[in-house]
Amino acid sequence: MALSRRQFVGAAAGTAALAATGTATAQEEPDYGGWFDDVSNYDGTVDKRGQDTVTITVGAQGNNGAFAFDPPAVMVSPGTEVVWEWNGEGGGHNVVSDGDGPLDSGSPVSEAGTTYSHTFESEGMFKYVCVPHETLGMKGAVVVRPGGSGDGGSGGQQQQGPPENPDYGGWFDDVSNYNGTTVDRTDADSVEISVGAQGNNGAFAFDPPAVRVTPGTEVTWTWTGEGGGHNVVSDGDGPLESGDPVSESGTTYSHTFEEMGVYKYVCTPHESLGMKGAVVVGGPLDGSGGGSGGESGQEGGGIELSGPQWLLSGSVLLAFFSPLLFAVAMRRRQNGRPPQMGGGGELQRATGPEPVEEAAETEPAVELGHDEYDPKGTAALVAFYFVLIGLLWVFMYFVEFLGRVSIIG
Amino acid sequence: MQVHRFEKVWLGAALLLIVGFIATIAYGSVGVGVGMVDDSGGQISAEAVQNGNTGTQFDDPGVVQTGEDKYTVYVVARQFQFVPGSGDNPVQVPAGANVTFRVTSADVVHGFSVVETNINTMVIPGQVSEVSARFNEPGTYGLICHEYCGAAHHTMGGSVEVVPPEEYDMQQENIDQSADDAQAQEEADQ
Repeated sequence: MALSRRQFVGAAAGTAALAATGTATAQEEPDYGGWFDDVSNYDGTVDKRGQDTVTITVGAQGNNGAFAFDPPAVMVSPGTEVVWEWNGEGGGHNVVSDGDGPLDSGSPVSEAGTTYSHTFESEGMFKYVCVPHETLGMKGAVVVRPGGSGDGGSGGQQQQGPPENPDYGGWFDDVSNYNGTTVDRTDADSVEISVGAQGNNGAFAFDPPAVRVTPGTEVTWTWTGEGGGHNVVSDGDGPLESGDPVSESGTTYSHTFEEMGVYKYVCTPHESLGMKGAVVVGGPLDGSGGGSGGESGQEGGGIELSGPQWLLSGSVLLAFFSPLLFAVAMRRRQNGRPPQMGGGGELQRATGPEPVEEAAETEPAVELGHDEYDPKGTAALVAFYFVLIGLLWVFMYFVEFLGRVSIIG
Repeated sequence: MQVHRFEKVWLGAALLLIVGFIATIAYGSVGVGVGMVDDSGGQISAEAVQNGNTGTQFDDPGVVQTGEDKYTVYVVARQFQFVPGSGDNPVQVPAGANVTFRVTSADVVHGFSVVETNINTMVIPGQVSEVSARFNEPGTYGLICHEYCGAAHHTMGGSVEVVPPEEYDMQQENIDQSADDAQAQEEADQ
């Protein structure tokens, strides 16, 4: 399973100090056009700009075996020499550009220690595959883009995006349910904010009012149905616009935040009451980012299912138990029906201590005897079978088998 | 025990049928000359095949002319392709010639089946499977691996192109020509 972006950001931030490499931030992530859809070990572009040589392992674990490039996607500066190094696993591999391109390591080889290198002088995106294992997802890409040198080294220490408690500039001064902290949800892929939560002297609040998420997180606002019609609209220019106020419980509005920054928003009808909120999009906070699952935010452990997943698992469960449900329905129908009494030799339900009598053996109405041997009829049947077998024999051997190109030695 | 006259007749007919089946097989192998796959291909180191240092034609697999109207096709099967055969590198043989396929595996057990023909053999690492055939009509045949060989087994295939002999000779000349040109170019560069 591929790591989600937040996990990757977290892992990258944790290892960056050691590896002295940074992560391409969300806005720098190149558009590969679905190239990595079937690549299991792809989880973002590794930014190695500023290095003279970059090594990519050929035959790394991934794609159900040793059928991967590691890292699959790498960003380098122009003039960087990229070296592919075979680790000897997963059979013969090669490195060949997708379509027209500069990369061609030749026939697949499997020997560990084999290397192939290419120096990328011009900017651009260079996609490549291992020809024998392309269908398994053994694909990669090198993105050549200037800049970025230097920031790799400090990438580990520096906090990405806004600080832990950004200066909202008095935005939350009149928001009663804001307690001065921004809820850290940088470990969640999707974050839910309730609209119409208790606060501001009524059901006029967003809960949590301030939340921190990582780039790429989907934030969903869910209406509680209380406090009248609400909407979610960005303060000033912004991406959020849920439309006219609605009051119906269960209404949702969601937005995926890609760029770092502070996104303030209001409920237009209740702005003056203090129904305001903010989404802070930034990297994970120090301490909670590197580890698996921070102490704040969601209570770990439980399986979280989104809307479509609920639908899917619900239908699967329903399908699974449908025979049982059917049986129950049949039983209820049976029970609802008045018991039928006697008559017509029908099966009778035992309703009480009625004595059960064994049925008397009766004479069969028709005695089934052996037919007389009919030599001509049987002979005709056997002759028909012989003809059938003979035809199949001729067709299969002389037409089907000998009619084809055969092995002659 | 009384056996009806008719029953005796078809008992005899059934025995005749069995004799007929056996006679057919005998005719196929002696009269028509249908061969069997045996171990005549010999053995080879799979590791050497993988590394391309067998010292045989398997290091540079392809079609080799071994005599007048006699060709040998060296094919290396590996996860998950035939070399030659797969992708844009089909096996090309002339029609009407005696073509011997020598197939071996570089990694795991594969299959080598030329679709719609009786050419069908296992490809075992360490073993060369040898089958000969003659394609009388030009055309394109599919080539598939029919022994499960890994996650992308279903994608392992290729094609065998049977081309008219004149066309085949012309192509070969062109290839030789271009090879000669390349060599001449190389020499000129030096």
